[in-house]
Amino acid sequence: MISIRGVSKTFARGGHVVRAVDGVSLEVPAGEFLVITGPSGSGKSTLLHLIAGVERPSGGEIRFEGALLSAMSDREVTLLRRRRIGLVFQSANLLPALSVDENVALPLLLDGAPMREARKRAMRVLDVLGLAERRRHRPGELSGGEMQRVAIARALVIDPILILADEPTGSLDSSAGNDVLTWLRSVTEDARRSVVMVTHDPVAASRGDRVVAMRDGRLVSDERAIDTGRGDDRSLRFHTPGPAVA
Amino acid sequence: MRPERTHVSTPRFGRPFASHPLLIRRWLGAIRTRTLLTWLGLSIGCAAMFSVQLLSVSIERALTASIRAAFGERFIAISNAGAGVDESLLGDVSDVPGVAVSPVVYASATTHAPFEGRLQIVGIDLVRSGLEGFASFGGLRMQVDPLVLVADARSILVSRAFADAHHVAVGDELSALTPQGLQRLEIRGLIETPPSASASAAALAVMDVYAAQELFQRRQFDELLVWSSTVDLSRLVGPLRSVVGGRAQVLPAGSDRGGAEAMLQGLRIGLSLIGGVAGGLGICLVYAFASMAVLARARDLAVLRAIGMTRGGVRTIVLSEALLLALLAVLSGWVLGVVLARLLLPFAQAGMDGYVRDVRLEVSSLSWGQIGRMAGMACGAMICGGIVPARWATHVSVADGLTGRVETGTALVRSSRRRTRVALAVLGSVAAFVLGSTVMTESPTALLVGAPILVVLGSQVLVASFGFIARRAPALGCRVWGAEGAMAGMGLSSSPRRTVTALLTFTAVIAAIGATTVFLGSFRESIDRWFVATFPQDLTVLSGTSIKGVHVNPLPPLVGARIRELPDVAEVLSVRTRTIEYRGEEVYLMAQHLRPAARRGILVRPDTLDLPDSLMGVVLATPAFLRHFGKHVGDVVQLPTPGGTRDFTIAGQYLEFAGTTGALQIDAEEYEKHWGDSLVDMLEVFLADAGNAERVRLAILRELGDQYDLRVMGREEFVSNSAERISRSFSFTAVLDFLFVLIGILGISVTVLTSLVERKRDLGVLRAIGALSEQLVRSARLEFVMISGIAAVAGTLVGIVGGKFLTDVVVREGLGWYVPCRPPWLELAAVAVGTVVLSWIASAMPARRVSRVAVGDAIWRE
Repeated sequence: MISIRGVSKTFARGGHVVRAVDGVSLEVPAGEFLVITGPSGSGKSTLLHLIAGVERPSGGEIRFEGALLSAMSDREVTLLRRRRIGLVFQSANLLPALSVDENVALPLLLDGAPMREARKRAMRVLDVLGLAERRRHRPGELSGGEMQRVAIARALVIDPILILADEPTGSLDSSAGNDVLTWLRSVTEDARRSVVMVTHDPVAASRGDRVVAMRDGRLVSDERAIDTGRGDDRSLRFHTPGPAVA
Repeated sequence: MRPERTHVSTPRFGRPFASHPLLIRRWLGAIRTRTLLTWLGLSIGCAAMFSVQLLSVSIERALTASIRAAFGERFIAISNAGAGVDESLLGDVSDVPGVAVSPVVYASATTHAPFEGRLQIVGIDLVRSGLEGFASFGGLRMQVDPLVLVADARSILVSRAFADAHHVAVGDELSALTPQGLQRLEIRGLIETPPSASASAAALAVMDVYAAQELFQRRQFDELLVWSSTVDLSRLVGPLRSVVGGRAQVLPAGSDRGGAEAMLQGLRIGLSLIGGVAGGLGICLVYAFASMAVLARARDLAVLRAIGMTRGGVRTIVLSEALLLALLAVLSGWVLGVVLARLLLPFAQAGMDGYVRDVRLEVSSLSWGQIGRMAGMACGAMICGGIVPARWATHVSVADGLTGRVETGTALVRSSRRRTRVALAVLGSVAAFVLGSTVMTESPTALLVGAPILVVLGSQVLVASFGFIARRAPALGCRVWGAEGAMAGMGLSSSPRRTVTALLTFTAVIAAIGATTVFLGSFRESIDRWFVATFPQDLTVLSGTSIKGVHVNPLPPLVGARIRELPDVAEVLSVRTRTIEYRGEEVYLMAQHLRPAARRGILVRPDTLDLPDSLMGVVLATPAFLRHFGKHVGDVVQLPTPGGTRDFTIAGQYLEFAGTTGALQIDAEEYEKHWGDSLVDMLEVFLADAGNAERVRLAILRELGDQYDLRVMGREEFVSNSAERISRSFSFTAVLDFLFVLIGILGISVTVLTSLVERKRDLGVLRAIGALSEQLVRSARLEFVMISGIAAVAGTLVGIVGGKFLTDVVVREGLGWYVPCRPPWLELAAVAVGTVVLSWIASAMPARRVSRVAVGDAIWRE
């Protein structure tokens, strides 16, 4: 689904040039739950933004379902995000002026859906996530875990084939974080969908099918998790070399 | 809870911007106070625009109706602008096929019994004209045989309104003072005046024209009125002009002959300027609101972009918000505008010098087209204010917004700086070229083209300066006010762009007021200087009131001669003023004895004036005349006289505020030689001892006052009376200036409120570390004052430049007046100080919000 070849990204910060991402190559097939991990400043969030089309790479290429992102106009990339990619951020990034159901319905409204229809679809997703009773509440009245679930609902309402999550459990307690990870995990039960999650939490990272580590903008490892058959607990890992690290 | 699969199909719907109504509604609701303040400011701006338009249209309608009622639309007038029409012309005009003609004499007389009052008398040849012709005259109607007026030369008809007001009836007699002495006039009938006639028509009396000539010692007629029941009047103008030639002017039906157009033009220019200022302020206010809204919502915009809103969608949402506010403001501004127009009406009417009394503010007087145009212009102006912020919004850095690095909005302008620099470089080069050309060629057109460029450049200079000040505001504030000043400065530096926006808005307000203050101050001073210089006489003797703007009772030379004989009178100079037609336009012609006038310093000029040795065949011209007709000193002009067209050489310039086409001056002897007119409109009396002015004034009134309907004024009274008339026409600008300051203060309120909301965390921290609530309140008020103080200084400086532009370009090109720019420093200082004081007062309510900051909530919850 996603093909990343020799991608790099540089920023000018205070007169210096910073290479946030340096020659990263990666493949994300459909149905995979990929975790990108690494310390703060390793470039993992920047890589996520590059995949989302929020930033343009300084070098290399990123293909989404075969289409080259850098060849698309801003409008085309935006529409891609609207219809094919769901984004989940660390701080949920809900619009405080809108209610829960309005926040979830927002991507559909952006696509021109009538309000009634958009709300109906939003309610379906909220119902599945157990938030139907909170639909009229404002984000400021929700707990951290609830806000993050609303953010997931917003990402899911468009039926995306790719979910990008940037530190989704970063500001949550373990219980709420576990719930969020469970929901994200369940997304990939549909073989069409993939999840790419950025995290620095090893416990969260253990929920992925594959974990790639970044340091100083480069990939330093690529591990595939093996199902030991012991239920949902994936805390045991066998190292399996993945594709060659650039 | 077991997670379940979610299968939600995603159809692509065809309704663009379906999300916008929801977002706009929620966003505006989230900042209710700021939205309300902005809407209020915009409403006031719209109200100012609508009120001036409504005033202009209503006054114009009343004036036109008054003119039509007085002059009528069913006849052509042949006139010499008060110089008199010779009887020989009557026969020539009568010979034109299809015409009916009547001579007319206008006069006024003071009644003594049975009541004291004044009658405006119109002498008309009722025998020749008959009732039909009489009805042509302003729609008057009478029910009596016109022959009754001929049978007795002292017969008059009075208006029914006059008879009712003074309890007189047909058959009663009035005693009236005329040049023939006290005369008894018998009321032989009543006339009906149309409802739309001006108030002067109520005191109208009609008598036989030849009787009027004899009674008021007129050798000539004032006008010939021509009408026709068989031929269209417009087809008669040409034949009449060829018959009349240069002996008089032929004025088509409904022509303005009272200088009303000039009066209206002045009113229109003044009101247009005000409307323009109001529109500009609307742009500034929307710009301020939209800018701050974009900055405050940068994170929301980043999220929207991340989840799929296109740049076009972002731009549309910002402009839609501006449009919504504009529409609401237009509606409410319309209602407010009607109220404001009623408030301003007395001031505007005073400026018309009582010419129009019955002005009715009728909203229905405005056509749908006019209303639509005003609403469209207001909305358009306000949407213009949202264009730049909408562009900013499209440049939100999504990544920065998602990671929270966009609080100060710096991410918004990253991509636009280089383009701005290039644009500024281009504009700077063009402006330098234009300025250079202007200085070298003195071309006002070049300056008019360069002015908008200068405005853009100047605003960029201001932006850079304000940004510099905003970033250093904490240090500046600390130096002046200590800790509270530093806290206030933090409010300015926390978001330099927001501060710059507020400063620009308020600077525009003060600059607008400053420019009009400089213009009015320079204008008043010029008028004062001009009056003082041009009218150095000790006493001024004027002829009586005018009917319909036409001078009546012009004084015979006898009056001047008799004044000269009075004790203490050293010299009497006469002035005759009329209009002539030059190249199809009306130009003022003033006749006086030039050498004594020059000796007395009456001829004021912008440069040296040396009269030639011979005054035969020469005229003096005002700069406005020279500029308007493209003439220079030394050129020859052909002027129409009763004896045919004559050549006159322009011998010099002199200063006069006479109208857009300018004025000419000619020696009195030359005037009488060519126009055969020895009457005068004004006598300038010079005394041997100026201390005896009052004694001489009373002597003139005693001897000649009532008989010749004289008004005698001392020097100070005359100058202040004339200057005060002009000042009154601009008195309503003070009301509008106050409204503009109010708009500006509302803009600052929006800014400070935004700043306080966004800095809630900072304020909580300050409270946590020991700042008292009242200290924070004071710092919030100081923030207000700092913004208004900086803007007051900048706005005053910009206003002085703007005022110079108004006086040097707009007034000179628009009205043809030479007005040296002399800023009234005290007034400007008063405006600046006044706005700061008003800001301090207005800051009380917004600053109170600070006292409600709960420390825990501010620090630990967003």
